[in-house]
Amino acid sequence: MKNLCLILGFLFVSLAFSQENVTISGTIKDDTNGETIYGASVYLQDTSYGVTTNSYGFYSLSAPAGTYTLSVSFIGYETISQQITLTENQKINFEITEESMALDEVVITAEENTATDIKTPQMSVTKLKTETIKKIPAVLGEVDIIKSIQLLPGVTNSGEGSGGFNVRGGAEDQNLVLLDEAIIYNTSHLFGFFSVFNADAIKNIELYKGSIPAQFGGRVSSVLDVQQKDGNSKNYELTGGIGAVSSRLAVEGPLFKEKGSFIVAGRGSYAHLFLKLADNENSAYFYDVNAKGNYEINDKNKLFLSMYHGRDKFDIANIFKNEYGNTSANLRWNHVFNDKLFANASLIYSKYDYKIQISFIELDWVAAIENYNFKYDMKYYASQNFKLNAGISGISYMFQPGEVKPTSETSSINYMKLDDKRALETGIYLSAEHTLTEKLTALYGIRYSMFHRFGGQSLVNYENDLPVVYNETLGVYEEGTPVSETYYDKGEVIKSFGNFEPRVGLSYQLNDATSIKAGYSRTAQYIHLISNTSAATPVDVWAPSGKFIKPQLSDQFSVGYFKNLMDNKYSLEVESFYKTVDNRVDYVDGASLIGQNTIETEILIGESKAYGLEVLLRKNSGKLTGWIAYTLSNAEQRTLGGAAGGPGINAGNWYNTPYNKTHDISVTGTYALNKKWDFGANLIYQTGRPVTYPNGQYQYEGISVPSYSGRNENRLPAYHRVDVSATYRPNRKPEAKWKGEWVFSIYNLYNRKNAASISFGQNRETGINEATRTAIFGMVPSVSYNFKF
Amino acid sequence: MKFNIKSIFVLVVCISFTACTDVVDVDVPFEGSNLVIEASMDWLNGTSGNEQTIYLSESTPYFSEDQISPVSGATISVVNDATGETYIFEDQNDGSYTTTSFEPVENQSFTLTVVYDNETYQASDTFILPTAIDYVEQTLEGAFDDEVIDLNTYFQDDAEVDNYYMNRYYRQGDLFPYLDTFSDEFTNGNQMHDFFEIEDDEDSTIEPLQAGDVVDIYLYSITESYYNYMTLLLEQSESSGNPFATTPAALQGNCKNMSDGEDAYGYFRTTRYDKVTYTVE
Repeated sequence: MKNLCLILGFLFVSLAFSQENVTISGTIKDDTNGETIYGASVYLQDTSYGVTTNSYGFYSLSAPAGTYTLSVSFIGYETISQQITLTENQKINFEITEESMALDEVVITAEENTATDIKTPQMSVTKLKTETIKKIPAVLGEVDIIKSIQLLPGVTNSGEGSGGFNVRGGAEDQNLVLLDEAIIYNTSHLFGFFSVFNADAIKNIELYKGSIPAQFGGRVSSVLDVQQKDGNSKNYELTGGIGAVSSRLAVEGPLFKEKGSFIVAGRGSYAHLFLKLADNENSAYFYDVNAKGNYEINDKNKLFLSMYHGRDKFDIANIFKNEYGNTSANLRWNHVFNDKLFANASLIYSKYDYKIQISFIELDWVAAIENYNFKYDMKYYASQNFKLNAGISGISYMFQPGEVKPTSETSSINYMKLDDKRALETGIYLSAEHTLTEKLTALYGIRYSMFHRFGGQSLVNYENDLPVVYNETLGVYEEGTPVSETYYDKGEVIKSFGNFEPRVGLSYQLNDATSIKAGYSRTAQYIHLISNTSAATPVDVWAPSGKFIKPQLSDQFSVGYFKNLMDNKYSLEVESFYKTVDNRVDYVDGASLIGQNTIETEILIGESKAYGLEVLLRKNSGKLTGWIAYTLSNAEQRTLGGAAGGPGINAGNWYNTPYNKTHDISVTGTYALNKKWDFGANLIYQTGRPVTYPNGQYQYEGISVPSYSGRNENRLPAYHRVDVSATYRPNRKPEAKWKGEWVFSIYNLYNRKNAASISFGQNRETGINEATRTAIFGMVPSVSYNFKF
Repeated sequence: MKFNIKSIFVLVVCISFTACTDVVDVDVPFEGSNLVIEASMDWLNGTSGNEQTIYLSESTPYFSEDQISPVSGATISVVNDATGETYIFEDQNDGSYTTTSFEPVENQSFTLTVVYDNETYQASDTFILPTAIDYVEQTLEGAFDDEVIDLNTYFQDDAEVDNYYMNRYYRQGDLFPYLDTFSDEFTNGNQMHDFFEIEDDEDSTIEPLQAGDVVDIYLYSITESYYNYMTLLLEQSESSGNPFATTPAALQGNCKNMSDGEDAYGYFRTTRYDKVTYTVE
């Protein structure tokens, strides 16, 4: 609470100071399509007054009255400057021009715009524009946001063909993935080959790997904030593409006499993707639709409505059918109270569900997680030296872990429904961006989160309150003995949790181009993905904290060194982090999670730790742009027996998390040769994923049985590959509306057979054991055609 | 906005998809051999269960071609925990130890003692109620592939208790059997149906079931502990390493080393079973 008083204290001091200043505010947009620009710098030249736009393109800048040169800049755009005289508060909107239009002439020398990156105490964050992502060579030419962030330091995944991503040694379920603020529970199409985000509908993405700002909560590892385009508010535009995997089409244009705009983007894959058994009975495909509209009621009020719906469908000869997908919608209301106070209210819905039908055992299985979320966020631009963020949020969850229905009278399956679970997660935060001295800037805040698990279900009571017990005789963990059940009414709270989550960041500027930063953040996570496989699958279920599962709590410390080199042509970021997570759910050997109503009997509560060093060298301007990223890290977990007794999982020893990759190097570059040709290349090298190899075999029941010792003590062979791409834009007249481009790419140029997995088994023909490597993508050439009209 | 969809699509699809699997050489660790006790007191419905065999062996490196390394010279006995009656298993000097006088008893626990190389291993298990196979039916449509023959085994589950089963399908002439475990979790009290099909794999010389094939079908009633053990054992021997499989772990059987050394691999189980030999038509 002391922090809170301190913040309030600063607020009043700042309010007092701010009175003498004049404020300008407004919105920064792209002049060709009217998209608002997030992160653009607005500053007064030769002064320290400057600010960056928020995700709605809004800025507010206060300075003493006087005459200045005001500049607006943003990477990839031409900087504009104009003389202004500040006498009274005023509203100025700017439109800036993308510089690629004048590619041949201009090699930008970014001015103070990147210098602000050095000043801000926010660290461990990376922002990527869709344009950048689109230039990165991708497998089968399918632009993939989730794959592109894996080229950044500190981000990996469990391997090709598996979904999700891992940030700084965190698990897949520890990432908060937001699409226009709506929670996306599963980021993969086709079990992980592609991501659910259609790049044509996305404006930019932001990934927080640490020092997560106080307005975000609910996950302990990272926040991936994906923002959809608002749609072209000036002209109707049609963009699309025909690729090897899918075709895309997006329509956007102005609405309400340019008071608003809309975008509708759809993408669908071809039906028989990836099925070797290419007879007509099988199909596997996905589609997704993004839609967004906005309406500017007046200068002070703007409404946004955005929606997403994606679906994957598999049908194996009518025997096995599976479908899954995310659906979300968000209604937002931006309100500018005055030139210093910006607010946004959001009402968000999201859902993830899956369905499995297996005809030969006559079974139909459905499961879902659904939530309604209300958020209210405010930003107060008190003065040049002090800005305040505050907000509240509430998420109401409904978990439907599973319902099994027999599909015929003769089915041997009994109807079964796992208990629905209900919960409410609330949060309130206050944070400040505070320039303490010319060189020292701080970002500090606190979030208080609460989680209430509600009734409407029964819970089992176990002997000695132990859902899991250690069987001393067999040396294994077993289900506890149920003694009774307690029914909780719908309105009744089964269990509540509350956590203070302080977030602090400091930046000290050593000189104009160099700074050092440090950060600490504590985050709480109340919902958990129940999965004991190496890679998450679409049929894993989410479970809320409650009587048996405590919230995960993470503490992360980070320090960094940031430098802009050679007139900001290059930038260097070096960060080091140390992170611990308490209450990480781990699974006892042989845990049975499918159709499990009492998950608590299969788990123990453990901890994890991760630490590492990340280096990112970027070339920001010129014909060649790109980056080199290197990560050296370690991530381990440990689960002791605790109250259940016994040594714990893996004999209570620390062991490698499945995504612990010691070395991770990515080099990605784009070279703009001329107006017609762009070239891109990636080089990736990673230490192999930790796996468990057998350490012997013996005969039992007539078969060869592998023996194992510790978990994840071995590693797959190192993963590496090179991808290249070329983009060709045919000659076109400047006035022609039709703009087409061909993208040629080769993924895995030297056809490296990277092991996605190595499995062990006994060959039925010879009886001898063998190791089988699965390599998902060999060399994959592809061609796609994109157009804009 | 004016456009004509037909005129703007240029279809270019170029898939050269090479997802594949291949057999590779992998260096795997070997941390020395360990004793393996395969002590299965299996009591066939309608028999006396007098004849029983226990196998002792040692584990070998994973890729070793000599997969079985028999162990002789051990002393083995099984005791009826209620009566104290002791059955000595005679060393046949080929890794097998036999008796012809074992007397199984329903709902009775027995204890195994193995003494080998100055180490003593012990384990207990209890016979549970038997299940009988009602009938076996041959179909084409029952399982994954409609073009290959599958066998369907039917039996009745007891609604009163949680039941655990293991089945074993052995086509005579094959190198090793097909095993599976299952419970009545989703099917309590129903007529149970289990199917067996051999995949038609073009890359393998293993043929699917064909007329004339003789298949031994075993259905075991097992305890929950053995079910847990065997389920994990089968999972680890069939699909380990697959990214959608669970992380393999040291498998803990019930044969404890009473002298503080390593526990033995394997299991001492007491099961009732039914068997049908089916000739595919």
